Amino acid sequence: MESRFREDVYRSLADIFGTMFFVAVEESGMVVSDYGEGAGVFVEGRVEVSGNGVTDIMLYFPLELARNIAANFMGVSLAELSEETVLDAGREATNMVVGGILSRIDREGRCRLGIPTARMLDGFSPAKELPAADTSLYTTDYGMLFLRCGSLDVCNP
Amino acid sequence: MAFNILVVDDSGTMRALVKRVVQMSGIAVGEMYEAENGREALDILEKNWIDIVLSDINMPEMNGIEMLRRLKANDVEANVPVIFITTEGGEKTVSEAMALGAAGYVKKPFVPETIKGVMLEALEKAYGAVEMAGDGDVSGGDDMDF
Repeated sequence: MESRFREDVYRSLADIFGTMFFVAVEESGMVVSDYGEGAGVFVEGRVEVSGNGVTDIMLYFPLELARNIAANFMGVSLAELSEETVLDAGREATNMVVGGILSRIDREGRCRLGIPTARMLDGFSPAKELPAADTSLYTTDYGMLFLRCGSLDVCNP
Repeated sequence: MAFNILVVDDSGTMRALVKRVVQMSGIAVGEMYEAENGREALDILEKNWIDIVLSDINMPEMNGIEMLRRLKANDVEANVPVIFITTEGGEKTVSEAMALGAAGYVKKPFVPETIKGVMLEALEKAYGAVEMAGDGDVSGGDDMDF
């Protein structure tokens, strides 16, 4: 990931997680190959970005992080959360993060966001399933957050 | 005057969050309605007295911009203020929303004070002085930890 773009992605993540969820996010020095078999249960949030082409951006939230985001959104305890609420919070968090990235790199609004989706991944293995070149890792108090994103050339004129 | 409020978002968690922010804003609230998309919102607007709409833009079936366009074409509902709360922050989208007659625009992520401020401005412009039901401290605390 090119350094200016990487900075925009990080600022969007830090802004949204800090403002909406009170979760600190830091860039990790680790690489995706450090996470092999069975990293645990994750929530995959995915949203399509379309401009002069189409690409997907994915966020992989450790379940504990997704549950804390959902609890903050709903104003309920962790024990009161349903799986659908956790998935919905994952969708919305992904939507906000990607919207934040577009706000920084696409001020003219050439690109459009699709409708976000989310699914639960049991026994997720980042090293097997995520390409190192397109994946960034971020540390949080609730585990490692993975973001898979290409160059977003689709937003170029 | 207590205001009837319609919250439109395809995310149930976001609707719950916006409702909590409104309830804690101190603005006198009558009925709170919810819709998952623009089409549902127009249906609720047709059947109920709504004083203000807080809506996302990016939604399935009918997005917020199309909802506003149809609302403005309806003689009865054209003056209901619509505030967009959305991740869609490009200049093109904001310009389009405001040109269509949106009463305000809040970009996610937001702090509760921002929504309260934009709502008060829109309500005062549409209806005059706004009655407050409480102290309207939405700055934080145990019940609103963002």
